[in-house]
Amino acid sequence: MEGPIVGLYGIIIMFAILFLTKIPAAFVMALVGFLGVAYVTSFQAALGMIGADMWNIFSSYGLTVIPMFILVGEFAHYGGYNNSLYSATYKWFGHYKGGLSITTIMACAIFSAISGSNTATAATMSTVAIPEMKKYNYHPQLSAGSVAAGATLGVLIPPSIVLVVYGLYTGQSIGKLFFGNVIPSAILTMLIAATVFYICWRHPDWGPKGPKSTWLERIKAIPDLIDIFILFGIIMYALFTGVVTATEAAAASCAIALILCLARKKISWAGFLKSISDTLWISCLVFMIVAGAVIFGRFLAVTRLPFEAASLIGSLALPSWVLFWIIIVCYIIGGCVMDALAFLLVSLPIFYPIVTQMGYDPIWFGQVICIVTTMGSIMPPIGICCYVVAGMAKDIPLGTVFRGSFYYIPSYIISIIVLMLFPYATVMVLSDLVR
Amino acid sequence: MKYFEHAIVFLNKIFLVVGGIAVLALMTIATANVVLRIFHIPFRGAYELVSFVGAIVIAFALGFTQQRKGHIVVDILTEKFPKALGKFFDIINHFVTMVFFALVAWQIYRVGMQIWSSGELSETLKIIYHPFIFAVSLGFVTLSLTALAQLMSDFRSGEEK
Repeated sequence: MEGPIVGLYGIIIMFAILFLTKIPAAFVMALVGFLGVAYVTSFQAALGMIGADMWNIFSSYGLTVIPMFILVGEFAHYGGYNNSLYSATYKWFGHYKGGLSITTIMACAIFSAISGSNTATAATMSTVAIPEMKKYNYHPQLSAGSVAAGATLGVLIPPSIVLVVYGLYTGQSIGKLFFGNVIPSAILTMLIAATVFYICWRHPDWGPKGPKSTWLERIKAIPDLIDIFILFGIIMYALFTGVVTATEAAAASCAIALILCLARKKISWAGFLKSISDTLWISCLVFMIVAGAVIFGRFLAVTRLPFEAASLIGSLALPSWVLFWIIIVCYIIGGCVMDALAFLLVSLPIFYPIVTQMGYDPIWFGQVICIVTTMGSIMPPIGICCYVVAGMAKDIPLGTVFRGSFYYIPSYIISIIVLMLFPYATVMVLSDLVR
Repeated sequence: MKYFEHAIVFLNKIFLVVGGIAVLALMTIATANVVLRIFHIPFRGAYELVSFVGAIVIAFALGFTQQRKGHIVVDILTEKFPKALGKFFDIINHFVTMVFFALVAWQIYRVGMQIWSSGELSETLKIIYHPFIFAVSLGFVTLSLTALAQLMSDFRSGEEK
């Protein structure tokens, strides 16, 4: 059998095992990659590869950024920053129609600036925001939908684990990816907030106005946000100047987050232990997906499938934007049926060479992919954010959460179109500043 | 058989504690290097040490993550399968995980042995680093053993029915 055909069979077998057995995605990728290399080369060569590759991945300096960025988010989560954040943003936005939903989205966006995980953001915000919205008779579709959509910002806004993993896998600068992400994140946040206004305009009784805070109360609430801005500022400044590595920036923000939590007596001993054990678990999960993808990518490279596919697509008469949207649709479908990060890493070895061959900027492509995979987390049937929200808000059925989230899908599509129309003004203008 | 499963839970707990200490050490070393650089006294071996400690962080969480079924599974189809078929796939999953990662552990051990026998030292600190490779191998051993314990539990719950 020809090399690329073996690669194609490998992809089909990998997806078949993934969907038909309960073997974790990371293990399937590693296993099929290992067996594929054994088939194409030899069993001995595959054995040698798996040992050396695993050690190289585990001892990679670049990947140590993952546990550090997760830890800072966990400290903030168990330090209870969600409560203070919510009450502070509430004072600014609570008096508008649908104001509590706007508050939730803004609080999610700010919390995302120190947390790289959408599930942590969804869990954190569900506990705070949904009871509040229930108190003010918000429609469950609006309340649950806004939490789920807001929580997706956890993956998008730096420090985003998806961007970190994308950067590490493709060899792109994490600093450039984070800075390139600032405007797209702002656009999406604004569009999600605008969707709340639209929903309240269509259904005036879904999001009644809350009481208005005085300007003094609003200004007094600002110090509650300072810690978060300090941490976000440190990460971004350090990455911008390039004087420290991404791991050092994340580690320093972890240390400062811990000091702030201890100084303000925000974290309990149990919360501290829980944040450590959750960090180990999530880091291990992410690491193993990266390891699986590296091994699977190694197999595909041996078969030369990505290069052959890239040159084949390059020779097609279709305009590049059509091909690009085909890839986007693949990501949307992929995001609907499997975890965003897992799908990203399964697909990158296939699509990344094609996209670079088509001449798209890798930093810009990273932002687009991040938005698309983010959208997957509120799309049925496996939108993880909706599951978390439905799990936390026991009285709101999953179907209601999905229906509520569906209103926000156009925001993501519009964001991608804006990014496509204005690549420089939305991404490169800031990413090019990073040294 | 239950003793074995309890022993694995205990082992994973100990490894979790070591992993937790390692993640805090990782934070401390990387932060200390930033501070030391401000005072123009950089710790040259920091990158190397962070890499090695990072390997411990993840390797020592492998068993614990497997124990809490913490990895991402695409269960969109399998959750609709009949219970008996689901049980069958659990057994397949745990068996494959056990065998495959035992193989991975063995291969990483061989990498460690090669480094040890060649007397290779780390590039900057000039220290022996094969113990870190053995530690990663040990992490995969716990992952494999945890899958074995889960496999035993699958069979036992089948017998109890």
